[in-house]
Amino acid sequence: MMQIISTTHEKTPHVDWFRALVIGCGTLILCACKTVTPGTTAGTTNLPTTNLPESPPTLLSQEMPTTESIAPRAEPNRPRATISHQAPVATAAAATAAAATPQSATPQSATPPLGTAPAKASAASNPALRGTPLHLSSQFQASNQAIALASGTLASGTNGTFPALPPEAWFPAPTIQPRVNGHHPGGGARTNGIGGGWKAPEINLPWHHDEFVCDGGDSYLPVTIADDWTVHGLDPEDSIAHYDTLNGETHVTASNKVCLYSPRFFAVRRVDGLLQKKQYDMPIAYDTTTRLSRQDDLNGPKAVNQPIPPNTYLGTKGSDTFQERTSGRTVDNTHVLATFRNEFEPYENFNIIVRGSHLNSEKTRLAAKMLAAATWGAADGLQLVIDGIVSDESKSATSAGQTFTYELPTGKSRMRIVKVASQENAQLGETVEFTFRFDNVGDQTIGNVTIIDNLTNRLEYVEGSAQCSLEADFLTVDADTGSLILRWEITAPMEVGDGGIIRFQCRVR
Amino acid sequence: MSRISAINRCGQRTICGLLIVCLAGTLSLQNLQAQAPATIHNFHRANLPPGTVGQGQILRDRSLLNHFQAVEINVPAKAFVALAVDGRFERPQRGSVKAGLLVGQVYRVQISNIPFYEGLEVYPTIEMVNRLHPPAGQEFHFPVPIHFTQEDLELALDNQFVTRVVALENPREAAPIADDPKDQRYFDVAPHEDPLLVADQRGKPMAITRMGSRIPDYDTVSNIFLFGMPPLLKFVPDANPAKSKPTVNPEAAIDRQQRNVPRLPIGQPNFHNVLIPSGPRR
Repeated sequence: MMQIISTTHEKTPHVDWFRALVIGCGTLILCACKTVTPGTTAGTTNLPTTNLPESPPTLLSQEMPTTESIAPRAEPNRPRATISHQAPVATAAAATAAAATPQSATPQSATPPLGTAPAKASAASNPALRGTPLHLSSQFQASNQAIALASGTLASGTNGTFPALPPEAWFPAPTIQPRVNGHHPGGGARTNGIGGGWKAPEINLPWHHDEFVCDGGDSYLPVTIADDWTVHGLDPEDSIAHYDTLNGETHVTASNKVCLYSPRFFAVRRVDGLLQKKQYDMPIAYDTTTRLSRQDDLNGPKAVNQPIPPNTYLGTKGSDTFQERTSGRTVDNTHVLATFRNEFEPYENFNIIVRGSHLNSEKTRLAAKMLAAATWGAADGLQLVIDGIVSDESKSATSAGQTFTYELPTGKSRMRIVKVASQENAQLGETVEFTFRFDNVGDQTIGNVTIIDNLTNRLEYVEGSAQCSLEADFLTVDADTGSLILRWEITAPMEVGDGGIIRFQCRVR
Repeated sequence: MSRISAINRCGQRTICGLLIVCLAGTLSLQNLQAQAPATIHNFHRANLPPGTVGQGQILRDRSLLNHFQAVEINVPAKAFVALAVDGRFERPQRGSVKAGLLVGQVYRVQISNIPFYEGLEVYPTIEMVNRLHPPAGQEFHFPVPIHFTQEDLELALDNQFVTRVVALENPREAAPIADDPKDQRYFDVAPHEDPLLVADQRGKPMAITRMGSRIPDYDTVSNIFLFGMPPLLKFVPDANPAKSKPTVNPEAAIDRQQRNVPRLPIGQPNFHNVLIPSGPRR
C-alpha cells in the first residue's frame, strides 16, 4: 500500500509515512465507531447455510449393552426407580425378550458408575449407529429448522451445521439444547446469557423488562447437576428439568420464559423542615434575698430497728437429670398432590400442551403470548416427511421448493419442557396458573426426571395447588434469596414419547 | 520553498496529532460506554424546580413527548381530591381519581376534607418523569399509583415540605413480600439525601410529588400557581370494560377427535385419564 501511494503522488519518504498513518488512524476510528454502535447483531449470520450436518457426536457406545440400569438416587427418603434400556432398533417383542435376558449374558452389561460416560464411538465410524433418515422438505429452510427444533426432532447441538435461521423464525419454546452435566454439547447458542438479559422475540430494544414479572428459562449462571444430584446455579426465575440417561449422564433442559405484565411501585420520601424560625430570648428567673422566718431544732432518734439474722438457710440444689425434649427436626416437607383436573384450561389450548406436538399455525399465538407482533404468512408452510410418511404437521398446500435430508444417529436422550401462563398481565394479589408440558422427545428411556422451578420473588406459591399427571413427589424449598423452589420428582422412568403436565398457581405480590 | 515545506510538515504534524487524539477519544468513549451506569438521573435532583426533571427526560427520550401516562391519585378515605381544569379546581372526588397526565408537565391538585383537619387544604404538585409500556388496551388498568397518606398530609399541615418520588421496582431485585395496593411501600431518606437518586438506584422513577402548606394566591390570568394548566385526560369511573377474559372455549381446548394421539402413558397410579391413549405412539 505504501508503494502505491508513493508512486501515485509523491515520493518523499516522510510523506508516505504520514499518509499511511492517516489511513491507519482513519481505519481504526471507523472500526472503533462501528463497535460502539448499539444494536449490532453479530452471531445471527455465523451459521453456515449450505453444509449439511455430519454425524453429530454420539454418546452411545458401540458396545452398548442390551440392558443396563440407572442407579437410584442416594437419598434414602427419595427412592427412585430403575429404568431399563433396550436396543434402539428393537421392537416391542424384542424388547420384552431383551428385558428377560440376564445381564450376565453379555460381558458389557455392567452398569457404569454414575456420571461417567462409557466409551464413545462416532456414528460415522459405525453405520449401525445411524438412525432413521429424516427427510425434510420445505420452501423455507428457516421454518424447517424452527419446526424441527421446536418439536425436538433435530439435534441443535451440532454447532453451525444447520442452515442459517433468521431471528424472526425462532419460536420461543424450549429449543435450548440440553446440557450434559451442565455443559452445552457442541456449544449451542443460549438465548439468555449473563449480562445480556432476555428479551421477548419480535420486540426491538429497548425491552422494558422491569415492568414484567418473568419466570422460566435459565438465566445468569447455567444450572449444573452434581454427581449427587445437587443443583447448582439455580437462580430466581429459573425453570429447568434434569434427567438421567442410560449411559449415566445427567442432562439439564431449560423451559421457555413466561412473562406477565405486572409493574410494582414503591416510593422514596423526604421531609424537609423549616429553614428559618424566630426565637425570642428573655430572662426566665431572677434572684431575691430572703430571710429565715423560722428555725427548727435538731432532735435525736427516738426508736431504732434491730436487724434480726435468719434462723435457717435453704440450700439450692441443681437438677440431677436432664431430659431432652427437643423435637425432631424434619426437613421432609413432602406435599400431597391434589387431584389432577381432567380438563385443559383455556390458556392451554396449544397443540404442544394438549398433544405434545407442535403446529406451525400456533406460532403466531405463541408469539402473541410473548408479546410478539409477528405475522406469519401462508408462504411459511412446510412439508415434513419422516421415512417417506407425511406427518400431520404438513398442512400447507404449497409445493416444496427445497428438500433437505438429515440423518440423525440414534441414542440421543432429549427432553422438552414448555411453560405457559393463564394470563398475560396481572394486578397485585391476582392468582395466575402456570402449566408445564414435558415430553421425552429423544429415542431413549430417561429416568430420575426432576422438574425444578425457582419462583421469582414477585410470585407466591398457592399452597396445595400443584398437580401432576404422572406420579411424582412434590417438594418446596426456601431459597436463600427469599423465593420458593418448587420441585417435582417423577417417580417412574419416561419411555420414548411419554409426557406429562404439571400445573400450579401463584399469587402475584 | 523550505518555508513552505516547513509549514507543510507543521500542518502534517498537527493533523497527525488530531487524528491520534480522535482515536484515543473514540477508544475512551467505547470504554466509557461500557462502564456507563444504568442510572439516568445523575444530573437531576429532587429539589429542582417542578418540571425540570421531566423536561430533561423528554430531551433524552423523545418518545415521552405528548404521552399521557395514566395515574391514580389516592388520598385518605374521607378526604377529597380535585384536579385543575379550566383555571379552577373541579368538583372534588372522594378517595381516589384516575387521570392521564403528560410526561414532563406539572399538575396541581387540591386535597381537602382531610381527616382530623377538616377545613384545611393542601395543594401538592405532581410531576411525571417517565412512562409505562403496558400491553395495548391495558393502559388504564395499570396506572402509576400516587399516594398522599394521612401522615404526609399532617406533615404538610405542620409546615413541613414532603417530597415523594414514586418509582417502578426492578422485579429482579424485588423484595419477597406482598404489597397492599391501598398502602404503597415507601422509604424515608435523610434531609441531606436525594430521594430521586435513591429511587433511581432501586428502580425507575416515574413521578415526583411535592407538598407543602402554602395557601394558594393564584391568578386566573397567569396561572402560575397551576403551572399553566397542562392538558390532562379524565376517565369516567367504570367506563372501561373489565379486564379481558380469555375467549377460548374450554371444550374446544380438548382435542376429542384424536384421543389416541397424546403421548401420556397408561397405567400410572396417579393418572386420572386426562387423555386416553389407545393407539400406537408416533
